[in-house]
Amino acid sequence: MNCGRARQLASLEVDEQLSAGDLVSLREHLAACSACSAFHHDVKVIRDGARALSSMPAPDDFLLGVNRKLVEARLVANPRRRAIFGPAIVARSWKLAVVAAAAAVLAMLATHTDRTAPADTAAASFMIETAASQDLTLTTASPLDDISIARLAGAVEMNNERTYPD
Amino acid sequence: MVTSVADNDAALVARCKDGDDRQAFDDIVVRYKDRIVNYVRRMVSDRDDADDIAQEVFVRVYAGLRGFENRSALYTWLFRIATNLCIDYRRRRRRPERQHLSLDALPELTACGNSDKGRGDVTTPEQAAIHSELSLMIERAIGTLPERLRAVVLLHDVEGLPYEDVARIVGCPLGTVKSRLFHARSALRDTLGPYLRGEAPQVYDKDRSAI
Ligand SMILES: [Zn+2]
Repeated sequence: MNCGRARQLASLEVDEQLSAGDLVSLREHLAACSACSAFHHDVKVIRDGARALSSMPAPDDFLLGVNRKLVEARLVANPRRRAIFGPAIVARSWKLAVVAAAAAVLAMLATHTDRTAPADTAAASFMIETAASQDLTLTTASPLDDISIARLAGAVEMNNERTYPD
Repeated sequence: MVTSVADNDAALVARCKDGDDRQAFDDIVVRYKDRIVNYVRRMVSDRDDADDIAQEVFVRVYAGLRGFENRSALYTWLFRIATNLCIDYRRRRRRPERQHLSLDALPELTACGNSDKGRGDVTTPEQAAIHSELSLMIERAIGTLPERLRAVVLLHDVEGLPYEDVARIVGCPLGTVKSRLFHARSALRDTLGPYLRGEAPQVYDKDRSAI
């Protein structure tokens, strides 16, 4: 076996892709050829190093950006336009009122922390979450507006977390 | 009974197709966004453009889901779209992108790295520094490969995809994948050889080892 062939096999051996016969031939060559043995070692170090490279997480607003592109590409309807004449506007107004009311309750509780009861906070949170989930259920278009509604009510983080689990 | 990733993917695709279920599509994005972003950022060194391309991958997926028939795995399709978009992007720029990644474009290097890919045990600060330095060198060297070789190395060596999937993604025979992988690794070894043999200056001083 020449060195060129041995190095091709060495690359396959790193991935455990060699037949038993080729594996024996390669081992014989590597035992006698320090240059190919070094190649085999280095390729394994590089492959292992590449496999362990750090992961770069996607930006926090990645999903939001995808949904925005879908609207821009007209692959999904723009919910703002639909809402003008569609029945969604009624539901949306109702939800907006609930979210605003719940946010007001939360704000009130926040200014009176000494009197905050866990049950009250949970109830207010439940109201926001219910409104958010209803919104998701009732509108099949982009959830971008769900975030707008929540932002109006100052509850963006909760809604964002619910709408876009990450 | 354990449900495989492929089964989960197929269920998500079915929900998207049958019920126009936007939450199912969002779940697909959330499930694969990090892997696609990692791959595209390493194919296209401009970070903003890379993230834009990665988002475009999912737009193409949304547009094409009705025609997707689960003959191949969902992730294979995602990576194939991503590869094609990266190649298109570089053709549009009309110049080969064989440049070193800037330090700013590199991921934050830590001793732990990507835990789900099973980095080896790193116990001492010095070992951690050596490991991080090797990662940085490998990252840079991959960035100098021609795109056809780079794609194969990223898909197989970095992402850990089997040869067969890589062949489907890049659209070439299995033998070509093996050949490209051999040439890519040989080129990486040429670049990294002096460093691996301790003949090249270290990237960081030992005083700055806590990177
Ligand atoms: Zn030899």
